[in-house]
This record gives sequence, structure tokens and C-alpha cells, in this order.
Amino acid sequence: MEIHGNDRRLISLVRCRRVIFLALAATCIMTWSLSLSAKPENAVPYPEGYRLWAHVMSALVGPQSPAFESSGGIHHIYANEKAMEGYRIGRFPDGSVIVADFLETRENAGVTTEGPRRRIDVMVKNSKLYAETGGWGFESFRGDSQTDRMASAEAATKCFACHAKQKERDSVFSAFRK
Amino acid sequence: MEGYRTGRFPDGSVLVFELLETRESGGVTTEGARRRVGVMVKESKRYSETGGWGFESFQGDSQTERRLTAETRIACFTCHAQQKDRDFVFSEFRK
Repeated sequence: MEIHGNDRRLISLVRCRRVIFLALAATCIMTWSLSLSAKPENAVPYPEGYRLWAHVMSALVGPQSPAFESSGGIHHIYANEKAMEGYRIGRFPDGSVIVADFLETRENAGVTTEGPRRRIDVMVKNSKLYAETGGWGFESFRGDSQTDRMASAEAATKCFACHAKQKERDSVFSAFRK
Repeated sequence: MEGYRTGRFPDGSVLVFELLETRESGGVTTEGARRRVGVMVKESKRYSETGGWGFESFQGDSQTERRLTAETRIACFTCHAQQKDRDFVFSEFRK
């Protein structure tokens, strides 16, 4: 009887281990698949060092603008070297990156200065990867975060829906102010 | 850029202050015509009397129309002198 009891205990221990192993394996697979969906192969990379790129232009979106709620504040647009070629010739080569920096504003005695960053909007040109959206990948990063992505796949399509109006300028709205 | 990082601007540093008119439409303020370009050039020997900085201001888009006189140049420095501990520079690099 005693041996029998030990066998049972052994069997339940083996079962228990099997359950733990399966649970761990399932967790691993889920985490892996989640990480895939969170950052797919066509994810737009964070534009490291863009603050030292060429300054394209700036604008201020005030309370009277319908865009104030989503995009109110100071906008600065930056372009990497390839994108600068795009501004010159009108077609942006693969590897072009354009960044729109959205900052809050502070006002003091009639002087408006830059406040905290609201978000950055990024456009990356890769004709093959983003063939369905004019060759451009779209993403937004919240505040100063390099990982908090705001544009879902759906939002990216929405970005393009508007940018598509600029087809003759390769889907770009801004122009380089000389 | 090294100067903004370290707090001391090496010789050859150039800072440009661009002043533009504004245009307003539907609550959006955009850039208009260039009013002037203010320039600071660091050359410690040549400009030793004004903190090592040379000051100039160019009218509009002109590369030749200089706005400053010997007198107004001193006025630039008189104000910038307040910033002695930051090598006479008012601006900071916003990250």
C-alpha cells in the first residue's frame, strides 16, 4: 500500500511538472507573438538624433484652429539628408525620414516659448515595405518616449488618406523654407 | 553644438538667430519673409574685447547688407555680457 501511495505521488508530481512546463511554453509563445504584433517588421523606427537634422520649417497652431485639440502648439519639421534631396527634386528617395516635432507653448509677456514635447510624427520612405501607403511608413511617438507608439495600423492608413492629397509632391505637405 | 554641451564655445563656433515675419490664417501662424539674420562668431583673439564673440546682423535675405555699426556692436555685447557664466550665450539647446 505504501509503495502504491508513493507511485501515485510520483505520477502526480510528473503531471504537475508537465502542466507547469506547458503553461510556461504557452506563456513564451504568447509573449513572443505579442511582441511580434507590437513591433512588426514594418514598424517605423524611432528617428534617433533628428534634432540635429536640417530644419525644414516651423508653424504655430493656435486655439482658433480646428487642429488645436490634437496638434495645438509649436511645430518644427526636420529632415534627414535623403529627405532634403526629396525637398529639392520633389521625389523622396528610400531612406528619407521626415519628423514633425509637436511642442506645447508657454507664454510670458508677449513671448511664446517652447514647452514640453507633445509627440513626434515620423514619415519613413521605403517603397517596397510601405507600397500601399505611397511608399511612406507613418508613426507617432508620445511625448519624449521612443517606444510609446500612438499610430496603429489603422491610424497609419488615416495619415496616408490625408497625405495622399499631395500626390504630386510625393505625399509631403511641408516645403523647405530657404 | 559642442559649446551648448560643455558651456564653453570653442573658436569657430557660429550661432545664427533668424527672425521671420509671421502670417496668420485660420488660427495657424506660419513663417513669413525673413526680417534679419543675427550672427555670433567666436574668435577669441580677434574679438577679445567682446568676450571673444563677433556680432553682425544681415538685413532680410541679403548676404552683404550689414546692419551693425561699431556702436550697436557694443550694444549687443553689453546685453550678452549678462550671460558671462554661459560664455555670453542666451539660448540653450532644447532636446
